[in-house]
Amino acid sequence: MGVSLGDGKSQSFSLNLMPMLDVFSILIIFLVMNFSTSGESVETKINMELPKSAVKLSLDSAANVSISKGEIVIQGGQSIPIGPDGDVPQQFREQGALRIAYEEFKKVRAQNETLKNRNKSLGLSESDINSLVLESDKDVEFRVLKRVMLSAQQADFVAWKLAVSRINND
Amino acid sequence: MSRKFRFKKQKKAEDSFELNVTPMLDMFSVLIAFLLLTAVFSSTGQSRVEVPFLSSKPPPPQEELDKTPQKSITVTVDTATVKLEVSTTASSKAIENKTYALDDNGLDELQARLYQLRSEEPKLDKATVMTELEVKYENLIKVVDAMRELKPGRQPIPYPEGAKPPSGVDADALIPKIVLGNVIL
Repeated sequence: MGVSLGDGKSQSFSLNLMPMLDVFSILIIFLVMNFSTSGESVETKINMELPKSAVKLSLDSAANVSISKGEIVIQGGQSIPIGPDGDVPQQFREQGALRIAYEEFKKVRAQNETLKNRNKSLGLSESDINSLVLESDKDVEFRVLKRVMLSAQQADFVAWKLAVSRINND
Repeated sequence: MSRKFRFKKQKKAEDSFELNVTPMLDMFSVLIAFLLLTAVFSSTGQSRVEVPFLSSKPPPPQEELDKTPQKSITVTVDTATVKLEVSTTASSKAIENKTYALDDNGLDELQARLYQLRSEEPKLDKATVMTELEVKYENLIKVVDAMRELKPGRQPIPYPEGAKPPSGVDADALIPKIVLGNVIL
């Protein structure tokens, strides 16, 4: 590259791109080695931290129940609050389960059945229809999980895929 | 002289060359942008558990159970300990009852015992987990992990012929079928 200095002379210089190229090459190698196309991408809430686990299987897709420290959300629908005592307030409870959750699970069940009947070519197995994904904060007590699971069980959901943050055990 | 000089000059011009790295740099920039945008730095896994359901099917008669007694495993989790209970269908009394601490060492000991039990009886692929209400989800996952995910150095136990693990569970899992017993009890 040349540049005129105004006195009729020109000075040529070139930018040394080699160090940049070296950095880019290392970055590409790192990113390609860590690149993965498998696994469900789960966007957890800001105030939710999934527990760590050594599981090897990636998360499959299914209807989703999200339990953070402050609320329960079923398939992005209506939310059920969790009180400061770490449990669902009395008015939402019914025989150990949660009425609103049960109704939401019934809706999800009906949607799954319709989906199954409408398009068998989707490849949804029976287990996918009967299972739910549970994303829960690591500090949530089992008393809340039990209420949600009991409500789902009454709507015939008997299998749970517990979402966890995978740690590499290799 | 002039010929020699011309030759030297020509040689010098041929010697100094530069590789045009700009197209390569362009390509790398695009590739880096793509990889950074699509990268998943924290991956989410799944651990499958089941919840018991009520069945109208009557249980097998006691004589049949006495003839071919089968072991069953129950793990009870509370806030500080994990209790392992092994019983058989032939007797209502537990044949083994041991308590472990709910920490890394305790869970390792629990896995070692479960590994021993499953090695002796590969058909023993199911366990019931009873969890106290105060137990945090993180601790429940730790126990499920200890029951399923083998620590390095432990060889997977082959599944009995004709049987297969439930879908959504790793074939190498120590105890593939885990039922959260007290959800309905």
